[in-house]
Amino acid sequence: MNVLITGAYGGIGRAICHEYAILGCRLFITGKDNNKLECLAKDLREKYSIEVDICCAELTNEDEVKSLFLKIRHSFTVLDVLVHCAGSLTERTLMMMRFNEIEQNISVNLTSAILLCQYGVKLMARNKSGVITLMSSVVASQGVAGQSVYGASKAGIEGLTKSLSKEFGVLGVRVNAISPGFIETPLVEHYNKKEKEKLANKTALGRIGTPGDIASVATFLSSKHASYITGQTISVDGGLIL
Amino acid sequence: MTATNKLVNAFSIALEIEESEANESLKYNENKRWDSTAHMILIAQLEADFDVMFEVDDIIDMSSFVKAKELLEQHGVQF
Repeated sequence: MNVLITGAYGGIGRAICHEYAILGCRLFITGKDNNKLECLAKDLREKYSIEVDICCAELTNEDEVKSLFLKIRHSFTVLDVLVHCAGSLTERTLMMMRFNEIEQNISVNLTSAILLCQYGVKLMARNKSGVITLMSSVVASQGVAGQSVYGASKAGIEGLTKSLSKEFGVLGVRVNAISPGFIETPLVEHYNKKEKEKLANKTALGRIGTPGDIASVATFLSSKHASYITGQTISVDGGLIL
Repeated sequence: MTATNKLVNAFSIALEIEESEANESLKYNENKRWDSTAHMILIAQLEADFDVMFEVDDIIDMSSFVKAKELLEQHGVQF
């Protein structure tokens, strides 16, 4: 199985790379930092003896996305799975957000997903088979003060998932999203211990999630066990109520 | 296989039509097989077979067999 993973060296992205590597998949990983990609690729190759290709790309730039897919096509010919993990969170009240920061947030979290789906489906359509998994957030459905733009972009991901599942369904391509709750990743490393405890207590399971909790759902969604699931946003949040 | 044969073959596979139907009179939406879904499959097929990547404008403009040939020529394919 040929798998493209964006935001590969982030907390969730890295766990997803390992989960697919365990399955023996051939990986194509992307991110903005070439050194981090090289390190991750080396680690994955050594641990799992799999083929890993890397491409440093800015996913908000159409030319770079196009060039990424040209490279993927030369490496893979066919793409089976796309997991889009790249994203960013600017935590600030709306009054404090500059226009360029708003645009940047929407671009990184939403426009990049649209572009990746637009190019990715062409490598899936020929075989009339493929799986696209996008990342939403609990913020999309429940909202968090100080994360309005992030929440808006993630709500966009959920709308995109629903419509694309209908558009791509005839091509045999399934599109789903995962909506993580509070997950222990570098994105939330600025939270102190007390804040984390408070959030853990808001979940039904009484704990903060791990990147592995998300990774196992990502691999499930691209497995044959999920062959009749499309257009869904799967919450993986331990029963979090904000 | 010549480029023309390759083009005919790509249309035939993507639109699920006889090779004899893939000719210069074939137009988008005029043949019942060439709808918006088949168009997506056709683009994927042509990109793979001719090792090109179309711009969005190309995909919108590809309204006929003749136009597809023209666009491929613009991407360096010789017929």
